[in-house]
Amino acid sequence: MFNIEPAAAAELLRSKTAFIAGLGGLGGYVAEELARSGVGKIIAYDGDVFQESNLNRQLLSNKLLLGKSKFEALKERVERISDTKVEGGQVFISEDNIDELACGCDIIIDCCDNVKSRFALQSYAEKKGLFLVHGAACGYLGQVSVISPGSGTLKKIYPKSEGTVGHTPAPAPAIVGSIEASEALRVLLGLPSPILDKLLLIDLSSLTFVTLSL
Amino acid sequence: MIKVNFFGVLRLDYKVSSMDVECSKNVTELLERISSQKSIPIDRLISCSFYINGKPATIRSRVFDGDEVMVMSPVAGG
Repeated sequence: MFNIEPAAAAELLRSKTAFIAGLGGLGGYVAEELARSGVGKIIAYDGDVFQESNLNRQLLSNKLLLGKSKFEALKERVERISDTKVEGGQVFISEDNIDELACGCDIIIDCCDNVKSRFALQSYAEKKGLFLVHGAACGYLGQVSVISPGSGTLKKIYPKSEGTVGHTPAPAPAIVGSIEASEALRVLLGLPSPILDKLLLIDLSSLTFVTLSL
Repeated sequence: MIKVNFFGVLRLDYKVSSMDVECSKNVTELLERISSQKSIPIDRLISCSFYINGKPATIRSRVFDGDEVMVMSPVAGG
């Protein structure tokens, strides 16, 4: 994995804890891929339950789980995949609770659906000296960044503290979530990211990938 | 001629990915010309982030013939 001897990488990942904020379109893929990669523990929070509108893109959802907790669905799914421990709950992340909820993690992964929660994650990551993997998607568009603590990169991505949300088909969250998972693994293994404090922009309608310096 | 690339919600809402614009002053003038040519409200354009040849810029930044300008509006869905 990333040119690290597999056994060494596996041992290192088993010792790590990843914090995932949001278990919707992005978070489902991130959690799935980190669990399959053998990360030791996932701490995940999402205050939502599944709705029919989630079925078009959210990996953790299915018709039998409508009205059920996204966190509980994650816990059951990971138990059937790997030895990755899962902690967390059905709670919405905010600046008021992030300190308590994210305690003890080695990386913060942004799978939120609003800008305010993202800034709460960045503040916490900065305070704790942690890297933040940012991701977002809308329609056939996506973006990913690995944010170093103290860089303030999120303000450059959202200069007006707002961004677009809307109808999103399945592919964009899957691709953005997978890139987030890949970059999270890279960070957990102590390797440099090619999108550190940069912004990878993705347009699936034209298969355009652009990396911006911020 | 300035090569303008659009990324983010402008692509979704106005079905525009790129265009060439004659401009010799700054990003403000560039946006005014884009607004006129593509019927995009100027306030939508001003609310975006701008990058000239891959580097961050503001509406006061100068543009020169041959520059590539990115007009980016971020997405926020999860």
